[in-house]
Amino acid sequence: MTSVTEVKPLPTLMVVPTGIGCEVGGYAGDALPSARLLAAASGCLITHPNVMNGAALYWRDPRIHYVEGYGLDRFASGAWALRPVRSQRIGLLLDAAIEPDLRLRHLQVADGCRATLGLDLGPVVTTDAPLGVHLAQAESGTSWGTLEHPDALLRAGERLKAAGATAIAVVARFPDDMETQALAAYRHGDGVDALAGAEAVISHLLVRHLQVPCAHAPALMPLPPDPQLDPRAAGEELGHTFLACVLVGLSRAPDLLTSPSVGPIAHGDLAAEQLGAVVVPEGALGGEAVLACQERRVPVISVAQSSVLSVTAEALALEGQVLPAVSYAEAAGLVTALREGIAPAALVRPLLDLQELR
Amino acid sequence: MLMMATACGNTSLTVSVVPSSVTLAFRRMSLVCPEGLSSAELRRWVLEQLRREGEPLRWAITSADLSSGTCMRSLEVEAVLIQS
Repeated sequence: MTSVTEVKPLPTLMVVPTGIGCEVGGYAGDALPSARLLAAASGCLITHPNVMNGAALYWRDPRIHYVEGYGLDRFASGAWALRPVRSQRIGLLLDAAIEPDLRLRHLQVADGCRATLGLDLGPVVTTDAPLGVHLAQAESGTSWGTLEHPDALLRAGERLKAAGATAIAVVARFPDDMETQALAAYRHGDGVDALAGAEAVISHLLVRHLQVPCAHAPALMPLPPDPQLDPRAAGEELGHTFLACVLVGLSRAPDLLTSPSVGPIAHGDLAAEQLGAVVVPEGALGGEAVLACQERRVPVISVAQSSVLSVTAEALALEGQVLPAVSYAEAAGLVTALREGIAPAALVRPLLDLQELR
Repeated sequence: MLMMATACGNTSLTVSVVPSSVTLAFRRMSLVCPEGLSSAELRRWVLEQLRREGEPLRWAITSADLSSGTCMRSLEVEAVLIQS
């Protein structure tokens, strides 16, 4: 029962693009505290694995909906809707390139999540060919990557779905020989996550093909301890795998409704029309989800912070259509104002003059 | 230990719809927006340009500038495209 004094949630999208070196969110799930704050402010936050995944660290909040980036873009553009569920049965998709010991570590994380957290996992499928992950950096400085055998990934995903998995956690063997300087910079809190772009490509491919929740964890050999490790990257150095956060995130990820216009949206479903705000780093306004929100006149809140991109409101000629915030704390204040029906313009001085149409 | 799906399990009846050759390609495109293109039309227009080279899987505008002396907006777009 909702109290008469309780304000309705304001479904809010939080996007921190993967692999662009965001000061907040560019590391090991280090935008999670901001996501929790925005969830408290909005009562309903839709965000993606890059925000929530801290390798061995994770947080579950019933107000936060974990939606992979491809699905998030489709949701924001109105093509897909979301249906919250009690639990997902998570199939585990393992790259054939993973060495036996590393594979065993991943299977034991899955077993641990079953035994200790009560997650519904299985079955496990191994790809019929090594995926062949390659990492790259674009001219803009963002990371991306590709696969030698994307078809092997999709075939394995099909087998899992046919076997009853309603969500898929995929683990691909990533190269250990990442450029030493770039890796050191990332671990010291000053660089782009070189793995993130390729991770997004893998999960995007699966979600596009299967329309079920998916998320990715890279399989890597452990690194030697680094006394200068930045706290934002520390989540990735606590265990042998990055899988636990993925399994927890997927365990209650909403179903993806790919034809929301065909049938009625059920009570509790989330559709793009319900979005009340989108929160995004100020230089990352050129992503598909944010542009789709802008199309729909969903208030866009841009948060000041450094990244390798400078696609700002000014660069896109969107001044006056974007609410600037100096931090996620201020963004949460703006979300609260929108949720309460307070015009954000009323909170700043001097008040702008009323505009008269002539 | 978790159950492993095998070829003799219930997945053997799966009919794969995976194209025999899926190729991923990275593209960086320089685009100049047509005059009068509103910001509300920008996403669809960029998608149209990308679809000439493949099916966009992941993309973003990574740079945007107003050309000096005109109102023409120039964009750099980076995309991973599916070519099958």
